[in-house]
Amino acid sequence: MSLDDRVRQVGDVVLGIVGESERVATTAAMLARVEYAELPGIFDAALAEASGITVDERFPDNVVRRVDREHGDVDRALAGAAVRHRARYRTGRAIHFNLAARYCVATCEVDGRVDLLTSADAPYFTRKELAEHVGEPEDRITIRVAELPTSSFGGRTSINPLFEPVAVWLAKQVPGTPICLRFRPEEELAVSQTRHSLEFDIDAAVDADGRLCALDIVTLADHGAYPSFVTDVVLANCRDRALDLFAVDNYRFKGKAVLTNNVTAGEMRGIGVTQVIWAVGCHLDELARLAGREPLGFILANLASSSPDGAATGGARASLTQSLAVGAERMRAGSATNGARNTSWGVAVGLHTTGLGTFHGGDRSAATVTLHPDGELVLRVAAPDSGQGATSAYARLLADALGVDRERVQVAPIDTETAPYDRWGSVASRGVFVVGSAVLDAARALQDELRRRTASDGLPDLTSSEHAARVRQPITVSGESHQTENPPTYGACFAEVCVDETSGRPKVIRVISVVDVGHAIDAGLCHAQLAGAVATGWEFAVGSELALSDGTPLSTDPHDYRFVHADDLPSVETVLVEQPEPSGPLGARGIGTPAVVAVAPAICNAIRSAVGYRAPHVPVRDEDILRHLVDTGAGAAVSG
Amino acid sequence: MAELQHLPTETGDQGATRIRVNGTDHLVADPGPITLGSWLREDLGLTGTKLSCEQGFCGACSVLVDDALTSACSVLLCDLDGCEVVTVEGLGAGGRLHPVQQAFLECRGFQCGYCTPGMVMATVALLATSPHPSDDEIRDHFAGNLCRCTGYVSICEAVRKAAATPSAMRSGT
Repeated sequence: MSLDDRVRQVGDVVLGIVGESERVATTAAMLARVEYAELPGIFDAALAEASGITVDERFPDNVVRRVDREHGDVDRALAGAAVRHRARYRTGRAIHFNLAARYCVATCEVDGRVDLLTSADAPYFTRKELAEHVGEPEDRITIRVAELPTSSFGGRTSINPLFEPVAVWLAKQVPGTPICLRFRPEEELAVSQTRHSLEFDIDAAVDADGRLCALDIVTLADHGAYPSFVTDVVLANCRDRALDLFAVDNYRFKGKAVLTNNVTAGEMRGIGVTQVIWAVGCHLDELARLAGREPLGFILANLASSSPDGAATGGARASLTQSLAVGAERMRAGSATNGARNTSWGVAVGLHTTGLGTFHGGDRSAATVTLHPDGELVLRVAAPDSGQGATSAYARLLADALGVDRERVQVAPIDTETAPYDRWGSVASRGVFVVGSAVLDAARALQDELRRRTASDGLPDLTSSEHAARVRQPITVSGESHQTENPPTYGACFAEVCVDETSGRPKVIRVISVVDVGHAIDAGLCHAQLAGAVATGWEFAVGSELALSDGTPLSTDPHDYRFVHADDLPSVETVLVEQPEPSGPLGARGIGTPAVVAVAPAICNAIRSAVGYRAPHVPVRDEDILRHLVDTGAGAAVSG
Repeated sequence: MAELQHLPTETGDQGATRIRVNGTDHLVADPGPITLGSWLREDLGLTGTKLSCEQGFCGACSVLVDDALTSACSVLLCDLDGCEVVTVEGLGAGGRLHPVQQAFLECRGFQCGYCTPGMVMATVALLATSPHPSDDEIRDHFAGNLCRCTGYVSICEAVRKAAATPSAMRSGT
């Protein structure tokens, strides 16, 4: 689809050249002369539907998805409310900027089979998407996952339409010869897919008791040029997630995703939920202030006690009451706010679901375990490690279930020929919940098999010589997991910010992140996720975005961007709350995506409290805060 | 470096680069316009030094050149005649981890690991000049090393732990 005679975005493929070395291919490319026929482009998502400019013929009006939901009577509730607030928000194109250089190696055999070595969090899903892009049946494609982990955060989940399909097409020019393709650093920075830029129009109201009585959200997503299923995820999360947090009798959501000639958006940690809960978290903070309510109390008074579908157990109130209390106590104990100019703290709550549940047909995973005569265990799952600790988590689950030393477990390299089918891979914080459940099922299967073979109830010592004598051939068993549930993981964030009155720069001097992880199987890995998520949320709130002008990146030089560095987060405290999740293995929930969500609204609420500026856009720009300080009289104390 | 002056000089070596890497001397006859980072990886097979931004921004390629923390992507091999380079492979000895590496392991100062060799080298450089850095000094020092995973919390813990290691164990590379 990206390989027709049209270019639709910066970074699109114009010409493909295979050479014996990168230098040869690059030299040849520089000799090429290309004639372009300029076509009209559409770069403003708000104008895309009515523009008359079609980005993809399959969507004549550029609308790829609409999503609606409502309950109650939101117009009546808004009209009759005690206090009402309406505002618009926009989120920027946050960038993954994964450090590992993006490479793939593609081989097309003479008989047409495709072999692709790449980084892919979701190997089987990658195979499916690649098959669609290159027009080959899935069973003629093998995906091999690079053994050296690379961070991903959604940036390496599956194929990038400008990358892997291009590599396969190039490989077809030289059947039987592997070709290597890479993104240069400026491509990785500027065209490799970003978080979706979303616009929100939010209208909300409270009754005389300060209870949220109406919430009306309109969302527009700019997807960029190449359609994918990710727009479904973005809009579904924008539609649903606020209701997992807040109780409201009258709700309406209308969302739309459009194509433009901007850089295509893709997955990024907490798809859609990061954006919508930022906007809602800021909006309700503002609404609370207008109603004369203190933000923390307002949140506590409006938390949902159960999911509106009745599916979630416990609900936001049960989970967050404890988290908010813990965080508030810590913030009050160590706050620098008293007496410090332009300094205050803000609070927000967030969540994301553990896994995907019934989204797009349900979730399933499988694991195979091979027990060798020497007692070594080899575990195969199709869910790679991208630094979150998946490999060690699965090895630990298996080893602990079997009562053996962790060193006995090897997790095998992953490819779609030898790893059992797993639908979604290492995404959506589903690893322990879905894949881990399959690993535990495989452990049970092995124990059953060994009991059967020894005709006893007891388990043999897998390292003993009598076991080796009995088990002369490797034994392979498999386990499965099917999941229709995707229970929410809730978190609270308190952020303290000091705004520099000469530059407008908001300095985040302290962050407390509290997340209910259900059960911390490995507390160190849980804390690591919370800490990394604070950095992700920081960047979303006050870092950089990919700024485009008529679809063209304003800069491809990383020095022009504000990525989070060590000196940006002087104090990060991470706290684990454990209220077990009944449906999770050992009571555990997913963490990686939920932990991001409350951070940015907390930071923005802190800015609001410190200097009275309500950012309508993230990342917040220093000059906008400075303009506000100048307009309102710099240094004037603004009560929170 | 005093040691490198012992290498024989012969006529015809005028365009050559003499360089010591992790204690081993190399004589590169015609280095061409290759960066130190590419040469380490492609010619010496020392792939511990990672390339990412390739323009001195991210610090993933950090190595020591004459004890100075250097982005290997941003220096040319041919400009390093007579220099001594230490990469992450040159830390530790006899199969034992260097104390900084040990500290990163114990504090789990990494997730995907891509920035880690650069972080480790930056830590070695910091502690060589400032054996007991304050938290602010640590954060300032690492402003040139980007990490996308950890939020720097466990990295700073690893640096503090390494700083607390008795100096006798930290000497030498």
